[in-house]
Amino acid sequence: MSENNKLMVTFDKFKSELAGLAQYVDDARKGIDDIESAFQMSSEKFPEASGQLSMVSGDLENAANNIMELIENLVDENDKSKALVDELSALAQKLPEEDAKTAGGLTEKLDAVNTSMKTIMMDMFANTSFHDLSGQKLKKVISTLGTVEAKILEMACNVGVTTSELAPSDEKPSYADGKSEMHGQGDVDKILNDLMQKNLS
Amino acid sequence: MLDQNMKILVVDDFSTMRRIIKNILKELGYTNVDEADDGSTGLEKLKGGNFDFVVTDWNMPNMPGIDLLKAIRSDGDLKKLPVLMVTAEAAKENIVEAVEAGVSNYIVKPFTAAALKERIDLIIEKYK
Repeated sequence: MSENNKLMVTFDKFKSELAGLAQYVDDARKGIDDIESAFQMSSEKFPEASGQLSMVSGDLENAANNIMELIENLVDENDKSKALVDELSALAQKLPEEDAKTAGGLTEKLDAVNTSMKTIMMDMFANTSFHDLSGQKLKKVISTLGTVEAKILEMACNVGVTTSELAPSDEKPSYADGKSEMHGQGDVDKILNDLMQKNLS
Repeated sequence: MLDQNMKILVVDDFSTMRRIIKNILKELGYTNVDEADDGSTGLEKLKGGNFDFVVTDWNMPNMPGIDLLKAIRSDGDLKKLPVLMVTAEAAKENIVEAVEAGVSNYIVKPFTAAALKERIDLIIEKYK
C-alpha cells in the first residue's frame, strides 16, 4: 500500500470516528431533551444549549418556589399554633394551683414542639437553595458541552463530514396528538391508557 | 445602627435565594429588608438608601458580588458598611480574595438558618 493510500485509510478512519463522536453528542443532547418537561428541540442539528439551560433552570425555579410557598404556609400555621399555645398558657394560670402546674407543663412542651418545628421549617427553606446551586452547576456543564459541540462541529466540517453521514437516530413513537413531546401528567395518562388498551386487545 | 431594626439589602440574581434569605432574616427578627438582583442595582440602592447591612451573592450578572464589595469599600460613604457574602464559591482563593477586599464574613451555600444567624451575630459584635 502506498503512503498516499495509507494516509487516505487513516483519514477515513478519523472521519468515521469524528462522525461517530458528533452522533454521540447529538444523541446525548436528545437524551437531555427527553427529560425536559415542556420543551422539545429540533433534533436534526445540535440544539442551542442556552435554551435547554433556561428551561431546566426554569423548572427548578418553579419547583423551588412551589416548595417555598408550602413552607411559608406551614410557617403561618405554626405562628397561629404558637398564638394558641400562648392563650392556653394564660388560661392555665387561672386554673387551681395543681391543675395550673400540670397545664403549664403541657403548654411548655407544646411550645417546645412549635419552636422545634419552626427550626426545621427554616432549614427546609435554606435547603431550597438547591435551585440556585443546581442552576450554577448547570451553567458550567452546558457551557463546557457547548464548547465541545462547537469544536466537534468545526472539526467535522473541516474534514468534510456531512449530515447524511450522521446515522439517523431511532424515531420515537408518537402518542400525543401526533407529537412526541410530553407536557404533563395528562399526556402521560393518555399514553398509559393507549398502551394498556393495546395490551388488552 | 446594627440591631433588629437595621436596614438590610439582600443582593442575589436568583429570586429564590433572595426569598430564602429574606424569610430566614424575618424569622431572626430582621424585617427591614430590601433586595436587588445584581451588584450594579445593589450599589445604586445602597447610595443614599441608608442601609446598615449587606448580604450578597458572588456570582451575578453585570456586577458580581466581589466587585460590589470592592465598590463599597472604595466609596467614602459606604466603606464601613458590613458585608456578608453568601456564595457557592468555596475555593480558598475566593475566600482569600473576599477577605482581601474587606468582606465582613462569608457563608457557603447551602447554609442553615443557624449559620446565617451566627455570622450576623458575629458581625454585629465586631461592629459594636
